[in-house]
Amino acid sequence: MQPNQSGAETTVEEWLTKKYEGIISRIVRRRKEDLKLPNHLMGHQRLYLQLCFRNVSDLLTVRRDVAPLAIANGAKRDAVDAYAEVVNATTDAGTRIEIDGDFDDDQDAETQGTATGGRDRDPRDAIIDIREYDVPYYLRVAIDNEMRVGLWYTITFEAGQPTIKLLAERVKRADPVVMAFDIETTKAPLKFPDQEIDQIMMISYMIDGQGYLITNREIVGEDIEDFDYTPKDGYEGPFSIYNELDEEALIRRFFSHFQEVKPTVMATFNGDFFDFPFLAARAKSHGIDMYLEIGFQKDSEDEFKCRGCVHMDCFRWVKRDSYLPQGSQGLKAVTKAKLGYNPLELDPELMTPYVLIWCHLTPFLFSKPISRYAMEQPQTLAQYSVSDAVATYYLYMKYVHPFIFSLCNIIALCPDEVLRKGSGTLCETLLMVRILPLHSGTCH
Amino acid sequence: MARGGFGSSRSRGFRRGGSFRSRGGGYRGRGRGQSGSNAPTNVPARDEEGNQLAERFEQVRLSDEVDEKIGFPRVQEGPRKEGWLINMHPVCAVARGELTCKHSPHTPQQTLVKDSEWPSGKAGVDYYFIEDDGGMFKVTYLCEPYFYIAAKVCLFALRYPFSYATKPEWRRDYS
Repeated sequence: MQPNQSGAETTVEEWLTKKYEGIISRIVRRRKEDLKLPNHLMGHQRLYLQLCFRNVSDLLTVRRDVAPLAIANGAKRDAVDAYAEVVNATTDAGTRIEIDGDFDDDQDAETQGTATGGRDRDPRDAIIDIREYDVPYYLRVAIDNEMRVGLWYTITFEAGQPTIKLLAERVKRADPVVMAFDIETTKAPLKFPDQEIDQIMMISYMIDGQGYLITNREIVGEDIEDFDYTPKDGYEGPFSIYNELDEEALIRRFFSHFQEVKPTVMATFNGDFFDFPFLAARAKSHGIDMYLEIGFQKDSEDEFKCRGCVHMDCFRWVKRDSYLPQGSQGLKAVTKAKLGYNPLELDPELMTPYVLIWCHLTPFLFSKPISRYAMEQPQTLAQYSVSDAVATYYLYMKYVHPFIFSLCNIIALCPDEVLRKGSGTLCETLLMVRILPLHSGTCH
Repeated sequence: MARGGFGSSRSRGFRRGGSFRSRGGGYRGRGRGQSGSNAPTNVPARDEEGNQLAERFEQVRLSDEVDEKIGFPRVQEGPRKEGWLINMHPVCAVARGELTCKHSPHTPQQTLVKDSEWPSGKAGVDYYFIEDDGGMFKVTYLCEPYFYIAAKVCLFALRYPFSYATKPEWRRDYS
């Protein structure tokens, strides 16, 4: 007999064990403070049944049945039940033994009680509350095990299962390999670039302060030489150039360089909705699967994420955290306001194809849109192209990186979510992170 | 923090009513029918489910392969390591392009590690670390998901007394 029994737990436990045999891994009794009690500040503890599962599908299977029951029964609770709760919470152990004994102390009584209980009352009616059932799984584990992105841990292994311990004395952040990238595409006059017909002209990117530019020589008129683009002291941008034959070679070069340097942070400006989708679509049209190459794929929110590499779309930071007015959230305006220099500007219409030849009879010969600018002034275009990558890189390093990784230390979400979630959700998560460990045991 | 956050970044903040409990409603609305693999069943691995399960394990295998390619091989044994945590995700088997996902707290998360004792897999989280020398690795931590329920307290008995006939004599005074 459990000493901390206080009611219909045994009945409920038996019913659950029988009904979900093989689904529920184990049921543990835990005393926790019920923060919904009117007098919860007294610190009275209530008994809860902790249902543990082997995987999330199993949890969902049971939750789907139990949650509606608990919510319906909870709504039906009336004054008498509330009174019972309060009495139960406030009476000390001494008085309660009598009542508990009523049910469980006497073996005879229990046998009879269960026997009649089966007839008289449904165990389902006894489930009156459900708690912490929609905490996302990885958040749950992170809270229970003190896992926060941006902190140091020691990892030891025992029979394949790692033991992860917080190293509180190490506070200096490690230096992840940061890559900032930006693509330049062709486009038809007065239109947005179209993934179906337009091509990537250039990809410019910076890795830890070193710039690279890959050009698509089908569009760009001549080979580009290495050059420096340093708009302001402290924002150096030495660029190495790869001149590639066509778009496919350009994409392959980019992916193989990615695999070589293995960046852990990918910084973009609106990469969720422009650079990545465009790159993915163009790669696909050449039969390259971007996910298999660099691990980035579109998720349910239409954002591009990778499991290992963090995708920091600086535009999200600008919108949520920069306090810049709506009209000044473009990269140029942000560069002026935050990095303090005037970036190169180029009218996008100058990059439009001079002649867009669609010869229906010989589509393969003339189906490539040709940009006058790229043909005639490739060097200027290259300068312009890298200016965005440089601005994105330094914006990320100076503002976004310290901001997001500091938040990650206190909010148990991954950096992608800390960057993108609304401030309400972040506050809510922070409260959970602070409160749950005070009121619950750990996972094991 | 951000004032604009609510409108601009499609947040799911307190809009839904603030508490995590109220989100349950959100889940049931959205979750159902989104993925057939979650149809209620008492048998963990039936035929159709078996196929989906195989597919999910295949996704896990693929994501391991990709992780290794981009620099995060899984480490399961060896000497003590020190690492800076850069990312964490449930071990995830999402059919690619499908609308179930690791990132949304409101959609079911398929989190699985193949396990010999448990055919439908065990839940785990992948942790991605950076080392001092620039090395990178990931470890998979298995942990049981759980939630809590509460049962009625004993005064229940006062409201719904057992019938006199079946009650032991000493207990009759109570009702």
